Amino acid sequence: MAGDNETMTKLDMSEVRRIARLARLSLDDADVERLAGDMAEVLDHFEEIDQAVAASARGIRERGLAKRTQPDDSGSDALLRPPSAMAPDWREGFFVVPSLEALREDA
Amino acid sequence: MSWETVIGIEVHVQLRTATKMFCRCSSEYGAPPNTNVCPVCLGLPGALPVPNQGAVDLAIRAALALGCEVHERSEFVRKNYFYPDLPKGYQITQFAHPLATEGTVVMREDGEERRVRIRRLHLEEDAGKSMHDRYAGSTAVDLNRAGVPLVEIVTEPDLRSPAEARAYLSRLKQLLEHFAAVSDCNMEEGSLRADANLSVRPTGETQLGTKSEVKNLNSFSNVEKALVFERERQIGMLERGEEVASETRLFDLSAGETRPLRGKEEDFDYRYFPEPDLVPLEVSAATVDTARKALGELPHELETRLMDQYQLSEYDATLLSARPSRAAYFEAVAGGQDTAFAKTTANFLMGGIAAELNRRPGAAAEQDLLSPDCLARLVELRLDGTLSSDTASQALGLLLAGEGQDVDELVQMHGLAQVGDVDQLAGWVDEVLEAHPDELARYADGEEKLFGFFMGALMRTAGGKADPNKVRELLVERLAAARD
Amino acid sequence: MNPLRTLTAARAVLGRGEASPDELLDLAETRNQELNAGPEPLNAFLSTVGSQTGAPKVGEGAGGAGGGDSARGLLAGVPVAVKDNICTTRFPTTCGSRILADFRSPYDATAVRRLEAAGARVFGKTNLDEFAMGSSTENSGFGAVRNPVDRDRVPGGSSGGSAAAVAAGVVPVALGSSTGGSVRQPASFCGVVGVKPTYGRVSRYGLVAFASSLDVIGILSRNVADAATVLEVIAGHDRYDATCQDRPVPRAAAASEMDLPGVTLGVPEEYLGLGLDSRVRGLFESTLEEVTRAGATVRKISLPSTPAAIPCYYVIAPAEASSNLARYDGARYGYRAPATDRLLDMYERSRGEGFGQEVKRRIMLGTYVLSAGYYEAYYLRAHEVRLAIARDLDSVFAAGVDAIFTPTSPTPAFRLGEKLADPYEMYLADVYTVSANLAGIPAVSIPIGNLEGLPVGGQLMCPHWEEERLLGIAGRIEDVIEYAHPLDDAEEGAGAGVDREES
Repeated sequence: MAGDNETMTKLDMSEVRRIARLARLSLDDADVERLAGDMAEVLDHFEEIDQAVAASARGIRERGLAKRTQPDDSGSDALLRPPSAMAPDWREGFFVVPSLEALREDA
Repeated sequence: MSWETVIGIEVHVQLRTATKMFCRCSSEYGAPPNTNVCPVCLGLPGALPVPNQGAVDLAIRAALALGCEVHERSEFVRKNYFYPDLPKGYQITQFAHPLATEGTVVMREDGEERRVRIRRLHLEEDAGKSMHDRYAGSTAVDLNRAGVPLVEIVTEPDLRSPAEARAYLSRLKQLLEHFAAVSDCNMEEGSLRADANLSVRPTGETQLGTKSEVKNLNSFSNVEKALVFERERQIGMLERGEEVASETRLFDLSAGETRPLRGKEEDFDYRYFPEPDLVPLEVSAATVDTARKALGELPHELETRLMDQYQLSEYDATLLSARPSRAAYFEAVAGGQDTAFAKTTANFLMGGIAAELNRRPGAAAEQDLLSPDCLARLVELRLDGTLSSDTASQALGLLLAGEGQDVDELVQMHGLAQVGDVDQLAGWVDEVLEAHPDELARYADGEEKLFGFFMGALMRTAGGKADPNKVRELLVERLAAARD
Repeated sequence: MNPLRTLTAARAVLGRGEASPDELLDLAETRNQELNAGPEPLNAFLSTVGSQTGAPKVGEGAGGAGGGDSARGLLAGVPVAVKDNICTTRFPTTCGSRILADFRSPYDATAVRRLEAAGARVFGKTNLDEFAMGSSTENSGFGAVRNPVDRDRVPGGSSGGSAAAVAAGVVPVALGSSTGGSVRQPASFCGVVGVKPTYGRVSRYGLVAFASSLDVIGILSRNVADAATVLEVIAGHDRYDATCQDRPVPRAAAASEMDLPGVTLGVPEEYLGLGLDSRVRGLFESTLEEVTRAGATVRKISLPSTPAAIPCYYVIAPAEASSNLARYDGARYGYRAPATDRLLDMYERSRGEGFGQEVKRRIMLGTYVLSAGYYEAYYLRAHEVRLAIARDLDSVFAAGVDAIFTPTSPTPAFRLGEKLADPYEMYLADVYTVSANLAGIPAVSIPIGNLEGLPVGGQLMCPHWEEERLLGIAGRIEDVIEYAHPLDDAEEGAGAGVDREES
């Protein structure tokens, strides 16, 4: 692709790891390395967009879809199977997950 | 050095809707866990939010009650973070373009108005509930509350003391529960939740100090206690030359202190962006107008008017304005009458009627206990001297107990009318003086304070029905005679 | 002739009593099994009626009575396929992802309810790129789909399973979904018709979200008329989708009343660059000559924002995806990594193990562009670019162009594995299709010929809500072209259709 060489934004590995933490994705070092390159390529192509294109749209009001609300009366879509049928861990009517405290104490 | 305290309050209030914010599951409190749920509030694949018009309407009312400007166009956004009770991995809320901004809550104290500016009011959905102590090493999640509509109300840092913060919360609750009628504002059930931030600065300083945020405040008195603790803690640190940390602290009620949230602060980055599943929320000027008209007077306006129009004290006016229904009842009784009538009406309302309302929790406005006509007649009989304060209370007691609705008939049947007949009164005076020869002798010897003793005995003998002015005259006459 | 090739054929067989609806389902099952036999299985379906032992009989007691009354019975007894990112209660809904490998939706998508209310029998769920992220259907967590025309090639994506199933004659029509070209591009690669309706035309309730502001349920079929019929069935207001608009449903009958004379087609010059295969260009240009001969006016137009479309799309779509896919966290449903005793572990491992590479790539990209400090530079700016693209299209239509006509994809179907190593190269397969998604306008791909036995598609785009015009013009061009599908030639053993090869 044209323009690859000088504008190439190589993403910092620590930045990629920070994003992975935000996205709650476990990645190995090879993943991080590969993603740093892939992400940078997409972002570089975005940077190459002619500034005038975005600028030309400033102030355009979006084509509005009509507002839709529903009345405050009951009638949710029914569940054909109860939540217990899909839950990985279900006890006495509750979804159960590993303790939150563990999350807080995590370094 | 003297210090100034600066407090801002952020409140989450559950709106009193039948259903949730973005689906039509019941928003009722207390159902068995995970039973008020559907594809939308479980965050199932493919489910989509549709806004509840009822919640929007209530939020508009709330905003108007807080004197806010309601914007014609506001925007829902996603606030992204992972948490077990957040089913979609994001909360639908409002951020850059909230429903309403720039309000004012007017409080009144010692004849002065205090204005607290409201920065913003926005609509959002509640999260579910995580229970950490149910299973060892695990967290149990109930999603019944997930998606229940909330308004978040944020003040400017305008409050200057913990007591004022508490007064603000009381006023806010009064506005939202009774005037806008948008929430039951029940702190125990979590339908009103308050967080506070506090900083201190040397008096006269205009820059704000470093603030801490205090959470886990489950009653108004705890808000005040936590803020008192936090104020003293910060002043102590500053006076020792230490720096206050910008942090979130939890209030521990049993220890009566605030503590920093344990553990490492997370890397919070909520990645707000416009909610693509919803179009912007549009509220027409006409809708706002209609809602404003339906809202009527706000508490401080009502208080001022009652004071001006009926010459009531601030105290009476404030109590009568606690709920619009009470003020309306008061005016149905005392409207168009003189100030004495108004004052007497207020006394009945604040006395026997308020006590009865307290005895019947959850029940009834004044109107359900006693018709305004009935109370008006009672006030008349009190003011024209037919009833003494004592017999009037008795009559009110009988009316509230449902013994009858015709005041005159009740007074007659129970013989409550004051006796003004001189012969009858003189007979009672004689009876009392004869029954207390010793006291009479001491009085004759100059012990004048015994006058009160004789009056009390007289009223008892008369069963509270003696016209106090006439009987006083007679007693003065007879005692003077005894002295001579 | 295969009764499962078109709606007309299926209805005729059912109408004459030559086969019952159950027998048609059995026939579909047999065909699917044949296509999966051997060393190069088609792998178009992730589940079928036959694989659902013990499940309630498909098509009976259809869930919900949605759909317009006029649509009732339009699809009576006809087997249809549904892309596996559209929720069904009677089949798993996996989205082609390991993270939902065992997931069964407890509710049906609105579009599925409407299909069933119109009498359709869902035969099975079609394979796809995981969460619809891809242009080749190689990103499925359950194996790639092969192109039925050439088993060494991809069927396009992400609705590759639906396109392959229709092309191979397993079902006459299938639902797909389009976020950037996921219906038109596989239609083009497989030689079938692919319709992407206006955003807001068909309820998204039950369509598993990839990028909510772009996603739309689409239709794959052998001809324009069949697609129009299915659109009539599934379109229209739905109280479960706040972005679905209450507008008159486009009628299939109206689409057949269109005529080419008087129609102005705009051909954007920018689309004839952008890596366009010269043979595809040649085929497209000869198609232009044919439609001109048939009475249409062809006008060169310019869409200057075109080169910005792909970069813009690859900021907006991943941003929304990163948020939409946050719900797959192992807490309430779907895959949970075993032996996690800390919450953070459960999140990171369930998602790390459950999602495939392409999905992770897009979640990472989307999280990045939304994160503090980058939001304005990427997401907000991409939003402006998107508005500029929509405005460019609007102004072309305002200047008297009835429909924009372009190639659907720069190349015919590429080889399996050919573009896997270079994600961005793969992204460019959607270079002509993303604009319609970004603008929300309706578009269709129809086959315009074959190149060395590989189908090539042409794309038409119309203004918002103009599906009747879109499908009308597409139908007339289809009449002019008289496309012969390579598989039909093989099946019927007679070169009935002229192979429109460009040499």
